[in-house]
Amino acid sequence: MAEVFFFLAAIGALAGAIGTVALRSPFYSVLSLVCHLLSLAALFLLLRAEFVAAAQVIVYVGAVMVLYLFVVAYVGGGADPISTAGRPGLRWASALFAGALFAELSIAVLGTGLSALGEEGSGWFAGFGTPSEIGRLLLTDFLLAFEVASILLLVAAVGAVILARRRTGLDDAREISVGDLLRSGSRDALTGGDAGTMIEVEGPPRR
Amino acid sequence: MNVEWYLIVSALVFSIGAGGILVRRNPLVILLCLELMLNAGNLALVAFARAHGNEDGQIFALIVMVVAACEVAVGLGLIVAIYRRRLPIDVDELRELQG
Amino acid sequence: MSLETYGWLVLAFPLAGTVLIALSWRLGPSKLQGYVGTLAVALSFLSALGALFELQDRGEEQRQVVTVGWDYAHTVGVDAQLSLLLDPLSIFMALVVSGVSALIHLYSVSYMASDRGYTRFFAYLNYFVFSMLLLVLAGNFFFLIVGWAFVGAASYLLISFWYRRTTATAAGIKAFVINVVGDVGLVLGTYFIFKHTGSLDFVKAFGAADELGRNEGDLVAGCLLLLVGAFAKSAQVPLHTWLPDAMEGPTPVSALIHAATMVTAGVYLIARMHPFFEQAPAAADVGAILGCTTLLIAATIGLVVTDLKRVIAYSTMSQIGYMVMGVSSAAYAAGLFHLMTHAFFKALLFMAAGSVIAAMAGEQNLDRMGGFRRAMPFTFGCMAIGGLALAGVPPFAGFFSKDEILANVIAREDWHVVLGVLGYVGSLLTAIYTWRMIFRAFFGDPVEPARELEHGHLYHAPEHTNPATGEVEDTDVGFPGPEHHIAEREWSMKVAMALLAVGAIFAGVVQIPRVTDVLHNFLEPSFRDSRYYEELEPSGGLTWIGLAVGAVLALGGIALAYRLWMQEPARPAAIRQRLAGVHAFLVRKWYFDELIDTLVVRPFAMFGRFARDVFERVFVDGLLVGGPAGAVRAGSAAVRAVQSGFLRYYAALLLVGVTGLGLYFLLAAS
Repeated sequence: MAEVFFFLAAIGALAGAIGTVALRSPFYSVLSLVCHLLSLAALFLLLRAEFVAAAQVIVYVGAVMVLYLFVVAYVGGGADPISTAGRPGLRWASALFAGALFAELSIAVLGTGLSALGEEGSGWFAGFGTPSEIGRLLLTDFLLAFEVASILLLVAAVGAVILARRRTGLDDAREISVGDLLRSGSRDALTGGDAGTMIEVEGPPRR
Repeated sequence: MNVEWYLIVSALVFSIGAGGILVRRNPLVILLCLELMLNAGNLALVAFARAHGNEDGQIFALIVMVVAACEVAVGLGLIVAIYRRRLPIDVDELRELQG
Repeated sequence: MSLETYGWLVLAFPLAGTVLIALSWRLGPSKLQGYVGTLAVALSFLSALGALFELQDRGEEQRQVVTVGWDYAHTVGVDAQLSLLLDPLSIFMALVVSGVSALIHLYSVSYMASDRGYTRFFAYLNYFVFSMLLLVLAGNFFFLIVGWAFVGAASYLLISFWYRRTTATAAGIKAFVINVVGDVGLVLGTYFIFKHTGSLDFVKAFGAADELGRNEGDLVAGCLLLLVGAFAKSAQVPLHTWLPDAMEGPTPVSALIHAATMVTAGVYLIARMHPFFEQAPAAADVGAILGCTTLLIAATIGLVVTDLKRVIAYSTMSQIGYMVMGVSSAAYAAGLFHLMTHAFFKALLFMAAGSVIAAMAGEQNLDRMGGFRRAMPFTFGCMAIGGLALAGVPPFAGFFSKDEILANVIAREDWHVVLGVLGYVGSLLTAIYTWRMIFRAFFGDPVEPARELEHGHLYHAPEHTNPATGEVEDTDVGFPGPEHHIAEREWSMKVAMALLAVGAIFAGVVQIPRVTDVLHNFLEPSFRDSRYYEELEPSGGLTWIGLAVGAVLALGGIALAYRLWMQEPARPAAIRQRLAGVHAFLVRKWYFDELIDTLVVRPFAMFGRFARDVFERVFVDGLLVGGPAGAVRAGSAAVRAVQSGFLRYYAALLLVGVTGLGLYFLLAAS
């Protein structure tokens, strides 16, 4: 039974991954990644990592991916072809290297001398992977990592705010804001229209 | 299930993510592929945690998730800022940090 | 006071003088500074006199005293001490130097009175006297070299005293460069001697001189190098070209440095180093031959030059040739005697010439002078006395000293006799050119400045010009002052010239052959270790013949000059036309300047250009500097290509790297 679930989840994960890479529209890529993440959560469950699976679904899918969706909706992003501009060979080369990397890792895994890998795993005790266990470890053995991670979150939050805020003072004429969006009315501000009421000079084309 | 299987899946997802970074031009999608790679790492970690029988790998995976979240926040903030300045959202076009 | 104290005082007074005068520059030019300088040198002279008396009070065997002021260093077998050697030779030189310098200082107090650089002049002049005294009193090679270098520097400073005149600065540089060549020779010679005797101290080194082999290669080389130094300082062939140009300096400078003192440093050097020169007769012979050559070359050039000061300069060169010839042929007392008398009458001649030039408002060309006899009787008298002494007319001083040298040289037998005969030829030429100068300047029809002076009015030129090139100048600092001072009107100039004239007349008394032997006996303790000092004595017959020949040649030369320039004024021009080639050759100073230009200056300039264009540009800049810089630039350009700005390129590199690393670990593990 476990194998069935494993294969289902694995196929889901791989399909999601390939979809993320291959789909044209970024929106679809994000959705594909969501699918991949959910499959990964299932795999975590199979590995008796209940808390991690829950965290994956709640944090990763529920928060990070939703943020992604917001940004994709804001930025848009037209369908861009996978092919690289002016470097057609790069596509095949990257596929080759990715394949090479996979081959190496597989060889490493399959040919390894690590004894435990060929079996199901060592002792699973009751409470393995439960929130109480994770919580105990986080607050005793891994307290430092826990605190540092929280600082990292703080830094990232501040950074994100600073990066994305609107500058006060002199307006960069090329910037557009949500206010502009709302004020534009029927005009399609996302495409950065020509000289209009609030969007002034279009700056010199950047390359 | 042998732990090996999970590791193979992890390796496969990792390679797919790596290839994806190389072929896509939209920075958003590149970030998504980066997520793929991170998650592949997470999977490997949790698999090894199961193999060794202690939860250190899971803790590690949690921290990785935190880091991934932070990185996504900052990365997306960057992309929003780029978009606001009317620059093309194309990694091949954004190459002023050169020389 | 003891001998040592007197010795240090001799040095201390001029040093104090120069420092005091230099520090007082803020007061502006004032005659007080001139008197302070004169006083300093006069006190130095008195200290030298005191030292002389103290020295003579000692017994015969104790007349070589070394006094050490300070131990500088005792390393690597080198003892460098601030030590003075006080013996008859050094006291004699100190007396001559300080005595004549004091009189020249007195002369300059009035002569340079209207020059804006008055303070600087006296500071330099005192500094020079200090350096020269250091040179002659030094007790080891170290301080000899220090004094030597200081004297060279003082000479440069004083020649280029009127520093805004390009001719003066060029002359200063020329003198200094040739002096430096001599310095190198001196230092290298010192090294050779140090190598063999193991000591820099004079007394110790001379004591070790006997153990050296006779005419040993190293010793000859060392002595030849010392000769290079001596010749550069004393303006002997081939390092003589700076002396005529050095007449660009003010006349007191010419009198002091280039007649009486600095140029005699070479003679002093050879006399002092006599133990080595006697052990290396090859070098001494070279010195004698070159001295003789110089005296002839300079005498011939003196016949044709038209600049008043340069005539006297060439006569200096010639007379120093006599001295060098003398001391190189072991006629030490004679050479030093001539040094003393020459100091008197040459300084006198320069002072008188300065007076004439002042009367001409700076003009130095003999062609434009004439008939100053009535206008400037005192100057004429001094010039005549100096001229008679120089020509060697008995009973003036030059007669006895020059003939003493020549008699001793001939007494050396073998080929030195040729040198002596040539010396007599030179004395004939000396008489001719000296009195040519005097007849042209003082006899004949008075020129305009002379006529004005007869009416009691000093001539002023319409504008101030460089006498050599005719460029217009002003009279501010760096150029001569607006006023000129002649001897007839300034008491200090008269006193100085009068004292020197007395010396020029009576100094010969000191060493009349067969009658008085004052100098010879006085200097004996310094030359006790010489094998020639006592033995070399011309026989009675030789002496009297020499004196007679000398007198005849001197008077004959004067008569010839009288005939050519007074009685038949057209003859010189006619001779010049007939011997035009010879005349041109002599006027161009035997083409020595051109020779040195071709042999030395041009190759060096070419080498410099080569170094700049090829070596510096191609090798150093291109290869040594540009090579690594270019390599770094190319390397960084290659590395910079990695920073293409393409994000995916970076990611690709990362991926390739990870793959490679994994491959490596896989292979390593298997």
